[in-house]
Amino acid sequence: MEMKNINIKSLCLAAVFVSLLLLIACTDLEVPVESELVPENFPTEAAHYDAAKGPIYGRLAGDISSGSYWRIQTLTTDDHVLPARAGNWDDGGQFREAHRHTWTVDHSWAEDTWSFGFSGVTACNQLLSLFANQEEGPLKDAQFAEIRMMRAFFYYIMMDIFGNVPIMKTFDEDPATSPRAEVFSFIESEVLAVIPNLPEDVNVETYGRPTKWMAHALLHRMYLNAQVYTGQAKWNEAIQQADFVINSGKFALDADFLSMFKPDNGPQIKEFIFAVVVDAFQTEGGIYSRYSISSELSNLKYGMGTRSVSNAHRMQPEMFEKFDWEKNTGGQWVCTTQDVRNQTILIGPQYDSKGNPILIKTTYSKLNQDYNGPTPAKDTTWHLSFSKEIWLRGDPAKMDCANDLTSQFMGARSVKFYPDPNWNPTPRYENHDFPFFRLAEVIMGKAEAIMRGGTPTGGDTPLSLVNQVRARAHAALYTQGQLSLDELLDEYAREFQHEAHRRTDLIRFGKFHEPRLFRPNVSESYRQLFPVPSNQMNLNPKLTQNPGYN
Amino acid sequence: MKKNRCNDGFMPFGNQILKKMKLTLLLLLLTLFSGFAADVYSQSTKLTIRMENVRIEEVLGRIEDQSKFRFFYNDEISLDKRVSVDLSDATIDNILGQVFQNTGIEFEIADRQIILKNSSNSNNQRASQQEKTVSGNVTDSSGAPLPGVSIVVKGTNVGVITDGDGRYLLKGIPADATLIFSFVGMKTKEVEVGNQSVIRVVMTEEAIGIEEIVAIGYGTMKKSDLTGAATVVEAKDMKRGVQSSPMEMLQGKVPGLNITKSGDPTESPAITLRGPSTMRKGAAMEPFYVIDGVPGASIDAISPDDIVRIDVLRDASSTAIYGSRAANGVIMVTTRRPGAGESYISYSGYAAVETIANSWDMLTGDQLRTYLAQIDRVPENDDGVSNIDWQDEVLRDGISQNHNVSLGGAVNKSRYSASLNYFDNNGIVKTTARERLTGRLSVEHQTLNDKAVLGFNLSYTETEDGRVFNELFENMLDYLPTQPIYNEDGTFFENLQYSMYQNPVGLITNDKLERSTRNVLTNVTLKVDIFKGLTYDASVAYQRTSTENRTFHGRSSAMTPGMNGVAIRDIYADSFKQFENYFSYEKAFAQKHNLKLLLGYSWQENTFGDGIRSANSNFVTDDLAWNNMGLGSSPDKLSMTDRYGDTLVSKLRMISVYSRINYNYDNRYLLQATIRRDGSSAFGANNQWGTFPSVSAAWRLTNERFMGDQRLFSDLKLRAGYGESGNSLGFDPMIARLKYGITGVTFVGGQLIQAVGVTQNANPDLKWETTSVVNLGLDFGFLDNRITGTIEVYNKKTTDMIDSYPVRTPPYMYGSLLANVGEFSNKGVEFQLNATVIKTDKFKWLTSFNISHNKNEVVSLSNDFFETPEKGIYTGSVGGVGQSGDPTQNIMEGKPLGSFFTRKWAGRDENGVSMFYDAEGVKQYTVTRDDFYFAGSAQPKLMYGWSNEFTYGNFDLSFFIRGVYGNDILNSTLAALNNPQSATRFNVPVFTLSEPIDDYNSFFLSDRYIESGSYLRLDNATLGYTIDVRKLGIKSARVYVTGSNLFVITKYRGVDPEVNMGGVNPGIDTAGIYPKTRSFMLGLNVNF
Repeated sequence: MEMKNINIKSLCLAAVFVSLLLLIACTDLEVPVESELVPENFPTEAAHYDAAKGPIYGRLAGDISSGSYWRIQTLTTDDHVLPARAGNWDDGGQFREAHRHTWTVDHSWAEDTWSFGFSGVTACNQLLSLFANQEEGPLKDAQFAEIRMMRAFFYYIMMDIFGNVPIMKTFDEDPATSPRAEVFSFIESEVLAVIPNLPEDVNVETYGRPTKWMAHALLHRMYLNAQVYTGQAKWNEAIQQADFVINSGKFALDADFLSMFKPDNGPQIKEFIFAVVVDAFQTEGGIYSRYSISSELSNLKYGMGTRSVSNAHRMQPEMFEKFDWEKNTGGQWVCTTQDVRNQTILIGPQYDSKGNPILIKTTYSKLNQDYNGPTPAKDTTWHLSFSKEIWLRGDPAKMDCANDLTSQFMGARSVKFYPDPNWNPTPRYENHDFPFFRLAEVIMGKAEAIMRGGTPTGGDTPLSLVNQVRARAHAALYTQGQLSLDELLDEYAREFQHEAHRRTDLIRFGKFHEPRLFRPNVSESYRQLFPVPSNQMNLNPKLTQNPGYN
Repeated sequence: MKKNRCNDGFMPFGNQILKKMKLTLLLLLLTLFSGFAADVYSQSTKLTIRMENVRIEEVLGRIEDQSKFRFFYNDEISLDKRVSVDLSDATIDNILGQVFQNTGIEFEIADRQIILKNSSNSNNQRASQQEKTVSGNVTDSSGAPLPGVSIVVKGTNVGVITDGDGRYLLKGIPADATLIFSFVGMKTKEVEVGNQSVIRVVMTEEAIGIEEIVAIGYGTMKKSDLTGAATVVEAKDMKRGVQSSPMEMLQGKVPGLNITKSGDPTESPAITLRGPSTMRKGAAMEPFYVIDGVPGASIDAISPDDIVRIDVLRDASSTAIYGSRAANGVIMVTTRRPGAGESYISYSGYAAVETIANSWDMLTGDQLRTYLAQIDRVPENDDGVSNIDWQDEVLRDGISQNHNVSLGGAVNKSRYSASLNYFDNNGIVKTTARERLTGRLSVEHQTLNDKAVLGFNLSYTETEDGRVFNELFENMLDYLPTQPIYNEDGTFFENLQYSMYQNPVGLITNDKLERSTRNVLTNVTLKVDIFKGLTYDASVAYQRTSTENRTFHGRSSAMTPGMNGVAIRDIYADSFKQFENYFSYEKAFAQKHNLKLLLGYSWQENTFGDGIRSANSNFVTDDLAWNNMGLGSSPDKLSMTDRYGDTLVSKLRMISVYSRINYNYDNRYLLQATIRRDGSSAFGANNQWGTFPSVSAAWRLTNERFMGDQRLFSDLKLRAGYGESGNSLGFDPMIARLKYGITGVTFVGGQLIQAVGVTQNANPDLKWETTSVVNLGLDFGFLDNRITGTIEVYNKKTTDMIDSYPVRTPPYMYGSLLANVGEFSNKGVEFQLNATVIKTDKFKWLTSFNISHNKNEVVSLSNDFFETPEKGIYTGSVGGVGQSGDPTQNIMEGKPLGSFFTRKWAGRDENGVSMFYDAEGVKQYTVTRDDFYFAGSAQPKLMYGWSNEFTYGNFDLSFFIRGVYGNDILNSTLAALNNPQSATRFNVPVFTLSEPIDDYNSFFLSDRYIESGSYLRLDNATLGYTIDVRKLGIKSARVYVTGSNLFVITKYRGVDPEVNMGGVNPGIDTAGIYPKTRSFMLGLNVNF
């Protein structure tokens, strides 16, 4: 009997515990978000939208100023080359494949550029759907115009490099590949549609963002290349778009050509129609000196400190020859003209910031690994000097020029983007903004369109137009008969070297496939377009590969 | 067995021997015959004593001095009478018979204990009185004394522990008391005191290793009742050495548990159990820890000296009770607590010296000069005289010490224990060190008529780590020996032309890296006996781990040139609050049926990354390092991330209900089923809850009637189980949600502002990885369990494996998505054998061997929605000249994780230049990753450990061998160093002297750097001596010397074949590895 009582008491106690257990037994898994931006808290107010539009511009600095886009436009041409050095710099063959036009569907620059372009397109589409609920009005119109213009800009890059790409007009679309001409029309119609709502002002507020004039400059470049892009020339349209920009009065050729490429360039440059803003510490990109000069130069001449710089990008002799450098009878490299653009190049013996020769203590064999004389280990002092020529001494299959001092200093160097002492020494980023469209291109493009059969406007002739650009560079003015199309292509080289124009220009002039320094053959015509990257083909079965790459 | 001889004459055979022996003039001669036979000591011991006219007390003292006999008596016994003794080779009976003749004193011989009493004084009177004193001794069945036996007065916490000779003395106990004698591995015995004042107890062994208690999660169980796969490692079997993490003590001890660690005192070991089963890194690969019943507590906060046992739960039928966190096994750690009646004060400590076990043999400066002279070259920046051994310059002999003091006791209804540990481990690389202080306090008290026990535990650990930048390890090998350490002006010589190329001495001087970790764990426990069989347990726990990292690059640092000094300090804390409670009910009915039930609920909330970072650059002095951040003056040379870091506060909540049922029929048929339902806020809205069931059964054949007659097996048990558990460890709580983040900057209104974009897709379907295990086990014991062992066979399958898959944007907002797609398989066999090879009074040899085999396979990486290309996922890039981004491993279907894919070496051309086969089998100088082929696997075929323990008298000797067999290692360190073409800039190893100097392809990773990783290591050898210091009032003391990592037998050409086996890219030996060490230590353990 007593046992039973205890049990009943205990059972009561148990019941209390069980109810306690159930009371606490909550199953709520809702946890507050404390430090992240999620759809519940972003974007919810006006100020968020500027930040939200940011991703459109986020990758421009890295990809355009010195990333895969820059490399595709530059290292596949007669502009620059990056040979291997005793196994260094082979890096999966990306540089030699680019130079020799032997890239495959797995080439990383194609992958990177595709990802860059379509992430831009997608970011724009995402924002268009995100912003759709905003109140109608001029503010919304302006935002939509900005986003659609940037989407057109990304599409232009995609159309130029890949040609045939899918056209995604809204975020949830999943379209197949469109032919290049259709992409061209899409961009054209988009740009024309948004021009009325784009800002006309050119000032610090609109710097680095699309304006009405950037729209015209883009259309100008598209029409100038329309024959390539669509098979249909549009010379008069190109001239018309150029005139919108020239006659706007918003732009002028900067008197000091070199100042446009100084590290402190920015909104004060009157010539920039659209510039990519680069900051050594806050963006990626702006990698110029890291590739073009040696640590002796960065340290002794440019005040950048001793840093690991790779001395890897070389100007091809063919490009160098377009400038006015000659060896005098004493064997010294001298400029034969006043053209300031010559000064964007380093050639021959180099001097430090005080004018003293830069000397390197070395040995005969280190200076030249092919030295066959009796005293290879003998010390010697070498006056650092860039040669014009670049030649292969290692494995030719690897486009390898060995790794002694001779090979390290083969090739002239471009210091157009002038070495920046305030660079970010760890990733070696510099501060120069990168001009994507500037007035000189529009002026010269108009000249070219007229030369190719367009109707002159405003009393301009090709000669008068191109001479504006030459005059600013302090180059001798062309006289009648001097300005041929070939000469114009060379003039493009002098004016736009290192500005990622070259591939587009060479293709328009039909000279992209000509033999190059380390490519003796004419490359296949399909190389004008890059392949759709294989990983993208895997991801989207609706994509069509470009001809020649299947 | 009890003898009580009084006034007896000599034993007849004693006289016979006496007559045969020649008398000597020695006052005392002791001859001890001690064989391996289990004779009773008192009968086998013969003494020779000649003493004249001395006090009895002196005779007894002499006997104690020269034998193991000990006398017990109280003040009433008078030993002042003078006697003479003249006996040779006499038994103790004979001697004492003569001594106590006509003294009125009786003696009682209980093996080695001799109790004296007055024959006239009856103790019967005293027995009924309130308090009395009991003494005696405890032996095992062979008569050997048992030290450390717990003797408790039943129903109280009053009790003692037997001393080194198995003796005890209990004062002031109630006359009607019952004593409980208990000892691990022995059957507990209860003795009523009654009128006895001397109680001698012989304890009989339980079957060794079978009656062990195993922690099973929310309770314990006799190992004999276990239905799953679990291994218990007790403190005495753990490997000791200079160890910064307790897990190192288990290396090689548990079949299937693979633990690898470098010599870095600040690094945690990499652990995998039964093969890798996830592609996520970090915590996701590690087992789940339960520390003193607190799930998820930090293992690193425990002093190894405090651990008494570690239980490793290996199969899912054992681990499923921990649900979504248990897929990699559960490791349950138990720290020292006093048993009832026990009280102790212990000190253990050691001092150790560590040296580098094996180093790379690099060229000296002169060797390099000579080598390069062959091809008419000289090292860059050669000063002509330097012969710097950079390894020598940055390495040292590391001195370590460890001190642990612990105390514990039980007083009335309370128990307490506390310990303090100081550990100081100086690594062999200068400036690397770990210094740690751990304190622990535990109190519990019985209340509510002894029906409830309330406990309080607090532990605190503070760790200071001195670290080095990884750049050091490559530079200490390949930095040119022909370059000086210092310039003439005393600054460090630096050549900044090459990235990651820094003066090693400069690196350990100018670049500082430190870490402080503070961990506090506290919990309050309540245990209530509600009624017979039903218990309620609750625990509220809180843990907070705060980590502070400090970095300083001096103004002349070669790592941050141009920055003029960079200081970074960040501090963040991870914490959790946890409430666990459960009911357990146990009921036996109808004699043969035994039922146990468990029902519980747990709630836990973690907070991660609660902290802040600050950084600055451009300092005027190096002296103040990170201690005065405001002194720097150029913050815009640092990016936002440099300055403020990306530590984000996040919260994770996990809620679970769980239940277990155990049924035991007649100790023959055992059944266990568990189920746990887990909810986690980290997972996708559609999959926040998961259910993890398990069922297992065992059959104890030896308890069957038909096995009754056989003598061969003392134990035989068959087990089978199936269970599912999940892996949700290591997840960011925001993992399944759409997230915006900083995606660069944008130029707005003349300034750069942060751009905010989508950085992660939402995946509302994301859920945990599920691991299901089928486990079959056989436990056996032979020859009264002198030989025991276990065989386990398992098939472990992980589905819904999580990985990041590239997706298209659109429709996705971001280019990759974390999704449950892949499938892993691990199948294996594990075998463990323990044997008592020899066991006599004086000499004992115990041995234990385990071996395991696991076959890992990536079954699938694709499903209907996500596809991985046929070649799999290229991974494991180690970089190197001309090899940026080249993979070394592929994760692909049908192959194990850690499959090497690399170039196939095709020998050299006539100029000595290495060539490689392309996919068509043609020799090429250059091949692409499409030509790479499967060149081996990092997964070992076998892992084994063999420990041996010998005791002889007071000496003990143990050694431990472990190893792996059948794995491959990519020796990328050798490849990177073996570059004759760059020997003017980077030093080369002596190995390179045997290679053609013109081989400009020598360093390209290929199968010629894939090497067998099999090894056998003499991991540990210890010689100990137990000192008899009882006269000083000390229970026991032992000194020992231990050598760790004494030798390795291997064909591997790198410095050590034990490379990191955890993570997604196991088995890659890169030049960034902290070298392994060899250590020697001298230790002392004292129990007061």
